[in-house]
Amino acid sequence: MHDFVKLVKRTTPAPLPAAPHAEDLAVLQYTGGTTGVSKGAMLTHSNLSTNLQQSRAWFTGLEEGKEVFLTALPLFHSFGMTAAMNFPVSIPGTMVLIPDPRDVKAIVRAVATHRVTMLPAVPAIFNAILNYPKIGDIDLKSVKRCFSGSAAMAEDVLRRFEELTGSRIVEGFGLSEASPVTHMNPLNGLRKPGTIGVPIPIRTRGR
Amino acid sequence: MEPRSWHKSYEAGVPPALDFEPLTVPQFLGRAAARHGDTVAVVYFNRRLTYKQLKDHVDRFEPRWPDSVSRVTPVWPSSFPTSADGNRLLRDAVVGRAGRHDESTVHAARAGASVVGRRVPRRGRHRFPVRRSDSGRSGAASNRALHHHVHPGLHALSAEVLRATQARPRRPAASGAGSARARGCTTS
Repeated sequence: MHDFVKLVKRTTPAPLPAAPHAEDLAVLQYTGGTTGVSKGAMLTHSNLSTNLQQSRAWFTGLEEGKEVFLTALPLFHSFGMTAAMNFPVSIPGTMVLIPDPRDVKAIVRAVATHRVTMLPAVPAIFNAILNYPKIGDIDLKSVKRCFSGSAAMAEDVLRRFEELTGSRIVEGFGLSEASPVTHMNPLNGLRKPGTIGVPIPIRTRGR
Repeated sequence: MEPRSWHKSYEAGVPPALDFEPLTVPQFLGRAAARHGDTVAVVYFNRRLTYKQLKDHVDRFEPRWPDSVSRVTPVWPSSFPTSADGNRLLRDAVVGRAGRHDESTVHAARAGASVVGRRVPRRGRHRFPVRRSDSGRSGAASNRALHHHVHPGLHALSAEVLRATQARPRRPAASGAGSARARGCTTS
C-alpha cells in the first residue's frame, strides 16, 4: 500500500499553470439516470460554482470555519461531490470522511465524536441511524441541518430523526446535469415532507 | 426579477435571485486556504488535514500530469482503500460515448486503467484495443502495461502515483528485473 501523502510530498507545490476559466469544463459527471447507458454530463466550473452559491444562500446561518460536514455520500456521484465535498470547501467547513456509507456504526461514531453539524445523506442513512442500537443514548445533538435527496423521505423517519437530533431536515431534488440541485424545501418555514420542495434562487449576473 | 409563486415559501433572508460570484472550484479551495488555512478540512479516522495542507497537496499533485492526460480517476482520494471500487465503477461507467475520449480511451478504462490518455501516442496504438485475455490475467499487470504504453514519457514519480492509484492484488509485488512492476514503468 502506497501512502499518497508521502508520494506527493516528494514534489514541490506548484499551483496550476493556468487558472481554469469559469466556462471551462470541470467534470464529466457520469450519470446513468433510470434508462440506458451512462452518459458523461459536461459540467463547467460555473455550473458547479453556481450550485454552491445557491446552496449557500439557501442554508442561512452557516458559520465560516465552524461547520462540520459528514462526508459519507460517495464523491463520484453528483450529490456527494457537491453536497459533501464542494459545498464544505466553499464555506469552508470540516469534512469527516466515511468510506462506506453503509457503515452505520462509523457514521454514528463520527457524528458523535466530531460533533457533525451538517449532514447530507439519503433517506436510507437517516433511517439506519434511527434504527442503530441504543441510539437514544448517543449524543447527536450537534447536528443542526440535514439535507436529504435521491428519494422521498417517510414523514415518520423525518419527524423521529429531527426529534432525536434537534436538527432540521431539508429535502431536495436535483439531477447530475444540473450539477445537481434544482429544488429544495425551505430550511425554516413551510415545507412539505416527501416532496422535492420549490425551485432554488436563480442566478442573475455574471457569466 | 419577476415574482414567482414559490418565492413566498422562501424563508426570510433567502433572495429569489443571487448575484453570481465568478469563482471556479479551485478558487474556492484557494480562498478557504487563504482565509481559514488552519481550519481542519478533512478528518479521516485519526488523520487530519488543514485547508492549508490540503491546498499544498493539491498543488503538489496537480501539475505533475502532462497536458495530454485527462484524468478520469475515481474522485475518492486515491490512498483510500476504496480505489478498487472506484476503478470498477469507472470500468462500468465508461462504456458509452465518453465525451471527448476516443475509442482507445474507453478500452483503456474498461481494462481497468484509472488514468487514461486523451491522445494516444502513435507507437502505443497497436496495443489497442486491449484484449480481454490481457486484462483477465492480472488487473494490476494490465494497468501497468497500459500506462506504460499510453504515457511512456511519464517520469518516475507520476508512474509511482499511477501505480498507487490502481487496484492491485493483495500479494506483495515480486522484486527483480523480471517483475511486472519493473517492466511496467522503468523502460521507455
